[in-house]
Amino acid sequence: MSTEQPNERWTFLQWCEGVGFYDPSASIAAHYRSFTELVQALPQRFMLQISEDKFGRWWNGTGKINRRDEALCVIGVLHRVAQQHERLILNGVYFADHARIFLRSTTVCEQPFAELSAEEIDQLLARPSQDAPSSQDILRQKLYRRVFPSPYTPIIGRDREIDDLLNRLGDRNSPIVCVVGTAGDGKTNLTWHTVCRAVDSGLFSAFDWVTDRSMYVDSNGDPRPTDLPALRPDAIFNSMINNFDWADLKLIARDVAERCAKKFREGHYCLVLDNMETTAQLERFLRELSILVQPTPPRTSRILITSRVESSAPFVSHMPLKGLEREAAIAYVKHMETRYANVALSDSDREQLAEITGGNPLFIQIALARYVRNGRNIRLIVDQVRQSNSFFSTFQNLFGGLYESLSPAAKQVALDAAQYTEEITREDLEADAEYYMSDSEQFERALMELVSQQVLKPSDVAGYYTIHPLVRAYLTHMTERNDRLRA
Amino acid sequence: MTDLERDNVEVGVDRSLRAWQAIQRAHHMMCRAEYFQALKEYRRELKKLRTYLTLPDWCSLSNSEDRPSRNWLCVYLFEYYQISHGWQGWRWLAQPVLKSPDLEKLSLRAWSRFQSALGWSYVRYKPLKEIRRMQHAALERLAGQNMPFEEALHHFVLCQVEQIAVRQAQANYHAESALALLKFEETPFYVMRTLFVHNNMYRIMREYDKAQALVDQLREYAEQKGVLRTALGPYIVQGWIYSDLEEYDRAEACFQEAIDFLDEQRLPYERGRALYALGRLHLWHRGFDMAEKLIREAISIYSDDTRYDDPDYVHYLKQGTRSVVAQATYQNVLVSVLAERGQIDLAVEIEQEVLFLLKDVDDRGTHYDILNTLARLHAKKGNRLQSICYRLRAFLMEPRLFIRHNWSDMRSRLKKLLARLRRR
Repeated sequence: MSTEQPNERWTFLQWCEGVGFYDPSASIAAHYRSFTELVQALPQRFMLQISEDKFGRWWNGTGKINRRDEALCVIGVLHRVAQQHERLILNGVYFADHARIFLRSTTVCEQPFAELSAEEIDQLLARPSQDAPSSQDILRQKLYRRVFPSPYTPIIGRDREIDDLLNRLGDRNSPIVCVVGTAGDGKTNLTWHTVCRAVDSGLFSAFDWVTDRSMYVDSNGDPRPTDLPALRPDAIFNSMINNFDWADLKLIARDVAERCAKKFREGHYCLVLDNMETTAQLERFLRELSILVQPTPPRTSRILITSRVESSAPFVSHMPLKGLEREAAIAYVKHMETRYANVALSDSDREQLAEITGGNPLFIQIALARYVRNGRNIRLIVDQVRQSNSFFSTFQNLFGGLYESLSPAAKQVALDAAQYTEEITREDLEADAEYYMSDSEQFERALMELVSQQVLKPSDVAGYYTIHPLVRAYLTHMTERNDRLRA
Repeated sequence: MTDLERDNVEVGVDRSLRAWQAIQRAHHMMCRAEYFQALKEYRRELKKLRTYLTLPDWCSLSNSEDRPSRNWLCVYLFEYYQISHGWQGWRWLAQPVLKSPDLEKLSLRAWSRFQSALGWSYVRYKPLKEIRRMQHAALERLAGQNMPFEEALHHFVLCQVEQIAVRQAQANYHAESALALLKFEETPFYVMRTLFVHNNMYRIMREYDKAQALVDQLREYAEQKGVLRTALGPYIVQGWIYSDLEEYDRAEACFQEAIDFLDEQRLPYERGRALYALGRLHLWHRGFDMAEKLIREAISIYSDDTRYDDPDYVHYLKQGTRSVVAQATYQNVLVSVLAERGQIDLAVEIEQEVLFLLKDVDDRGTHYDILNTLARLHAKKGNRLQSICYRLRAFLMEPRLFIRHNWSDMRSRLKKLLARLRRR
């Protein structure tokens, strides 16, 4: 486990260092002044008068935080510092997990305190959703939970592609736009961000998101059926009725497709079909949903598809998505570096990472995690990747190496995580780990290790994680292999 | 970490077996009415279920419960589906069992447990006659075998079937048989569910004292098990009785309480039923706006066919989540709201959709309600002939209910007619 991730043994000073609050040239008094200023910027509920004496004892390690409200106040301050310094300790997707570690740490706290409630998280993060969320926000949150893997914010290095996609969505001659690319290149992420932007800018009044998971791609890149019934068109029409708020259609049972098509033509809607794995699957959907775009295409509504394959249908505009371009890939590497404290790659290492991963964002994430883990030896990664002869063997070499380097406990938690076909909660994983781990601290470390190694991805919803389908496919394969070995 | 733990970590765990045991545990907990722990365990394991479903063990049939098998999986999940619904998903899970030539070779216990669960999943999906035949056949095979729990489960299904068929004597017989065979100390879940279902029959037949006695018993049991404020508790059924007795404030309090705790427990379909009940109450109170709001919310819950995309509905296993029966029932109330406001044409149009929704559903009670509503709507429109036609259809569908519901009206009309005849 790298020392960049916080743990329960971190001292108060280490937390301050981690978020960028510690300035070796400044006195404790100066730090205290900054601290009290930042306290004033906290939401009222977390504003506390902390004495200089008390702060000094925390700083020197001679005293501990003995009240939960004080701990929350400190967390709030450190979070704001981390934001200012763009550190990922107590910040962004890690906020809830790191806060939990802080509150459980008996190095900084007198006793372990209860973790943050969802409301406290929202308030400490000062999310704009403090006011009642609009129905559009609620709908977007609902749709967000349908998206696998969870979209990553902010989207890096895809400005050109977003513009391109927005232009295509504005083109009246192409009622269906299909983003085509391979695994891990960010089709789903690009589509989510573009469609959100399109709605925010008024291009569409609303969007709907449906995913067909009757097929998946295994770690060898082969499409396989999941044995689940395919998504049916009437389910899609129903989804549109609900998410486009066509209240009058909720009460009808006859001619649903025709009535939906009429509404779709008359409005500004975007229907997203995510995760089309095979040509047959894609063609079937286009056939079944043709009523929405034929005989005359809608003027302002669009269907947006993400797929690994192209369709031969004449009314579909294909937008091929490749890995990030060199400059964008380097910017992406730079951005991902900020997820690790004290990691700053040299320019040449960044360039090499961008080059060997072909700019594939998933590969960059995994390669960077390996780089941090293996003593920052870029040569090792380059050599392994160069032995690959295909896209999927590149993935297997990259991810396989990372998997092998995980601690035994982290491996087990990763294999457990791969069993979930839906979103994963920390609580689920902890309950699973009870079968082979008696120590909750060990579980905590394993979880943090997986997050830092990009195996698990924290979702925007606190305490939830997702896993990339390709990573999941690899881990499922490992589970099967282990089962065979054991048998 | 101890050496043993290290070994365990390095060797790994049999995740399939672990998941199997967890589902089994959840089932036993729910049978014992350890409601909250069971829900938690079920929900966690269901999120993994699709990973295992293609494994040979999980597709196979077996008498033994030690290893995964599809027939026992269906049985173990039965209680979860009982309170969270989604029977389409359950029926999909059951397909490999139904297609297997080994189904009839299962031990009597394994076969019977699967059959009773299957029977419940067929309610309002297959003709009642077929379910009745299945369950009676199972009871015949169980006769003299000393399997009281298995027998009770078939009676439980038959109680529901006969209630839908509005056959009071048979419904009472099966409910009482089930209650006599079940032991509260062993399977409180089923005792409470039987009381929950059975009191409705008395209420429909307007025998409120008897219905209330069963609800009182249910409340006592629920209190004992600490599940008063849950889907197993009496709030909704108690609300219905108060509502029928025109004790509106008490009924409203019951329904509102149910709406709140079902929301907390993430059981939207049960909550939809409570919303519908409260909406209907407001309709009787002539609170049309509130009635419409509540009913529309209930309809939204039941008409959404895509909620299975949300992880909370993973037990639908990618099957549609729409419940046409519930939607039709609720829409029927919405129609009454529209009619009260004078939007008769729209009300008729929507009621025709309701009839269409129910075209393949064997639920005479609901059909009867809809035909009566259509008769009223046409009477309001001045289409007397149409109205009489629908009344006649309602009578032919459920003569006993028709007479019972219209008895006072019919009696006064009959008196008038006789008086007229005497005068002549």
